[in-house]
Amino acid sequence: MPLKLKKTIAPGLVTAFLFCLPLFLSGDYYLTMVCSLFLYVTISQSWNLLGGYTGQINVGQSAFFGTGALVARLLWTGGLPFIPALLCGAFSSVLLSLVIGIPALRLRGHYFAIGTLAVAWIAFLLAENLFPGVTFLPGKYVATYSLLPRYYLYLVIMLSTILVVFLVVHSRMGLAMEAIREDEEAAQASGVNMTKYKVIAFVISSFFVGLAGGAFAYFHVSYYWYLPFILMWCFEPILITFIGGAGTLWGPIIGSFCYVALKEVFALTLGEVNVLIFGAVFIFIILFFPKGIIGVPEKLQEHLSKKAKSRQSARQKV
Amino acid sequence: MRKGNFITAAGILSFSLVFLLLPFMGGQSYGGAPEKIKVGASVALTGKFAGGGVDVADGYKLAQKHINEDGGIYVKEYDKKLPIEIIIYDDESDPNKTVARLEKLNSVDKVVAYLGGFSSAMNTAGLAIAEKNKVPWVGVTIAAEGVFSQGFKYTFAPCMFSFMEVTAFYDALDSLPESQRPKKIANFELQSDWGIECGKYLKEFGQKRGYEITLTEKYAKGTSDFSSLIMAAKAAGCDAVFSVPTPPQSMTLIKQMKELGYAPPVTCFIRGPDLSNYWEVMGKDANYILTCGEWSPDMKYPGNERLVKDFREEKKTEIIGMQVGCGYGAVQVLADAIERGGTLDSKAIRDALTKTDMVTVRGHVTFDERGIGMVPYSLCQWQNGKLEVVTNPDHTTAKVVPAPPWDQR
Amino acid sequence: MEIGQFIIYGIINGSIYALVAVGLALIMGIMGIFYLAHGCMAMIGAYISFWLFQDAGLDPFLSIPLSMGILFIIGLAMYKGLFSSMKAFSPGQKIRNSMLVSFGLVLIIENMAVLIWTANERRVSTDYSGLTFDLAGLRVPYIGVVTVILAILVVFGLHYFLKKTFFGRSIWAISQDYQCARLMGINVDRTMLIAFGIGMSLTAIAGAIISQYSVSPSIGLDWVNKSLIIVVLAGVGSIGGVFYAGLLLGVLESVSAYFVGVHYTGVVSLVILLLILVFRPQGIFAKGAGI
Repeated sequence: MPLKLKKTIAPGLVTAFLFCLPLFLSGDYYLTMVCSLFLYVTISQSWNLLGGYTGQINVGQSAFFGTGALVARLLWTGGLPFIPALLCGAFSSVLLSLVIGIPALRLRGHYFAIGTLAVAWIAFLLAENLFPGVTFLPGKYVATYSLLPRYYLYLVIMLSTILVVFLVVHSRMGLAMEAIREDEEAAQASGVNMTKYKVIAFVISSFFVGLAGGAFAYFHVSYYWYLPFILMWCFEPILITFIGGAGTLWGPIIGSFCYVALKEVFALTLGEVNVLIFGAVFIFIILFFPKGIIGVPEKLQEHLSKKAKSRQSARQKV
Repeated sequence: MRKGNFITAAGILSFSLVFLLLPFMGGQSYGGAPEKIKVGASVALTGKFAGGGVDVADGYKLAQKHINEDGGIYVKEYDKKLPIEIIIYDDESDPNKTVARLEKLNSVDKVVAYLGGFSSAMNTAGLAIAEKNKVPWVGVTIAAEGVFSQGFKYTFAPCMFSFMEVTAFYDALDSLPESQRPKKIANFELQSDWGIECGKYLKEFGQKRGYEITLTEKYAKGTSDFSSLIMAAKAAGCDAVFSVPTPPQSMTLIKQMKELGYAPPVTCFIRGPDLSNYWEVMGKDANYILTCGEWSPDMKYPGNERLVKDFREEKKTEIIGMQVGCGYGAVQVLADAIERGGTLDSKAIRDALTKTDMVTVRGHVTFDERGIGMVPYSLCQWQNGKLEVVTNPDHTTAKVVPAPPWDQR
Repeated sequence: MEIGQFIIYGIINGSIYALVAVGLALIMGIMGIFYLAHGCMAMIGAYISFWLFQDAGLDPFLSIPLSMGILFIIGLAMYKGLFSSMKAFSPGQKIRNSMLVSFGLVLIIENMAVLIWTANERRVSTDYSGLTFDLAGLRVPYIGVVTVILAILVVFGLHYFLKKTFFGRSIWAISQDYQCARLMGINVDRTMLIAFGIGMSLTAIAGAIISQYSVSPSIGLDWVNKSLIIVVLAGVGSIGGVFYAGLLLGVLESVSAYFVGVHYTGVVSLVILLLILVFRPQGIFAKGAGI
């Protein structure tokens, strides 16, 4: 079988499995957990494009997530059908990224990080003050609420995020982005238009984060308007991506899995100390696997080959 | 590299197994005739809101203990008394988690009713899930009337809401002799849904009852410097101030009022100062502050003595948080409804809740058609280290005392 | 007249910000460790001051040497256990890994604090808290004056310590070029260890002040966010600049309350930060790379 076909079979099977998954899961609880997982994969993978591949550490993702959610929810509860509302939300997020991104991307390193954090914080304060209450789904939507369409929405958004990031990363654009990450001066010297690629990465990233925000707005029956703007939405994708392995396609996926699954298991079984133990496990993973979980097989191989080598040299000595 | 891919895939598969194991964690569901009545709650046991969350959970657990000690709840359908089990999960002060926990309680643990969590953000998320799942929800620590005006049928809150707090405030002012009664009120308006609601009712009720809201100054949750508000109120000569600050704002406000020499005869701060350790933290500066009085260990309602005695014995502490009593009361309401409903069917319990008419440890409870609890309007005042009940239709332990200027204390 | 009162509070608040941020300026700005748990350490410092006051009756200012000592030792243990393995990492990886580890630390510390001390707010109420004196019709809290003096002493004290003493200059040398410093005979491990301890013990001073406002287990993240902003505003690597940056932020926040209302002051100070970043990204006081 040609290699290209082989490479598409596994992902194809997984995708088919995910589409059929609701048949095997009984009860809203599982669907809710899996939706949560898909959400985290989406926002982490989007962040990964700008942060992991292009090396621009964006600490302000909550502003984009929140904008997507806010616009989508406003339009949808205002009467617009959901899909157009969702897209409007995503495009508002992109608009914001152009307005913020173009001046912000002139900043390097720490400054870009702090600048984006400041933007996210401003967005949160504005949301808290301008929208101080709760957003409720109108009665008719609550009566017909079903988790299934929400599951598929999250699934489709997650798959398209992964697909687009995959395509970008394996294209010339991706090469340029990684070059920028490795050494900005050198990249510029070899003719890479830094601003162009940074902006592209930012725009793509914020588009998918905005979509995720809209999905969030669709999912929750009622929440305080400021909820999608809280700063945890900035920090979690960064942590997840790094702990999974930044700059790799699998990193955010594995990271999200571990983060969501572990947190839930601990919360259900460990009672009051669950967050504490989670923090300890977190630290343990970083200290022993500095490249992230995706580096685990590598480390194991290293460890095993070291053992093999020492066994070999011991044999030779005899 | 191929080995690496294999290991990675294996890793992912094993984690997927974790998801499949999730149902076996936390609660077990039994088939057939129930051995107990299962009720669930998602409460903030860790995180920012853990202080009040733990109090609410303690109230639930104590009520569970007492109900079971008395034999349980009589369910007509099975013609016997069944014990109640309250499953409490931690939502880590995160409304997203509240949703997940409540879904688990419904799909996996198969509870017949929900109890609320602590504080509006979590409760708002929680009650929406209850409505969606058509499972009755009884909760406290939610005060925004707007939240209960969505036409939801399954949600009930036996606690004081914004318009009740404001009414109680005006009752307290009315109770002062004419010569000492404040006329000009300053409203420090927290920009949250219930802060703004209180502002609206202050104006509305004030007009009807002859009080003037001289000034309204807004602040937000993150505000840490109140000097501009205090100086404005001082300059306008306001002799009463009303606000709904949570800690640490409830402390900073008083500290700065002292520094700036502003001592209105009546200071009413709902929420922050009702925490039992407020005196410990503020010392004498807490004197004369009026605050929420939903429940106090000194109230003489039936069942309260037992609650207070047991709690103090178990926890070996004098101080009992207000939410312990409120949580206990919520369980009483639910248990009573289950008994009157006669079955463990969610709709029957819900219908029985609408007809609630009982006296709990925090007073008489009925519900209006929105599910808002009609409970006694009650305020307390810090007087020499003790939270005295100063406004309450049934029992007061002291009268409202106007505050003297700072240098005379 | 009113504006004067705001400026006074602004200066006091700014001094607190500077006191909290200065430790981070050393740990993050110079040592390159992205220490997200910094705010939590200030929280611990505040709790230490509180418990020493509550149980032993020690005035929070007088107990500073004791809490500094405790935090110094905690700092040594923390560095040895968690960050010493990162000393040879490239700056990018060091920042990344230290950020992740310190995030885990935040979770652990905050939750341990809730378990041990409960989530209730605590505050040190001394006899002199809230007392003020009159300055041209304005009220100045005594504690505020002490805070400003402490901020000046600590920030500029650290600045000169790093510039003038051998130990201080070796910290700089290590941060500039790790290998070179080793070749020059500097005991890198011991120097970094002690430097980290110093950075931590400085938060004890901030903690003593914070304990007189209020402390609870969850205040850590907000403080570290503020400190990050101040460190960057001052210019990463600048110590003295931290005082001015803190003051600037504090006064801006206070005064803007007059114009936009107290609920928007946060927005104003952040917008100013953004403007400064756009026009002078290296921070106000950094003189380029180096001391």
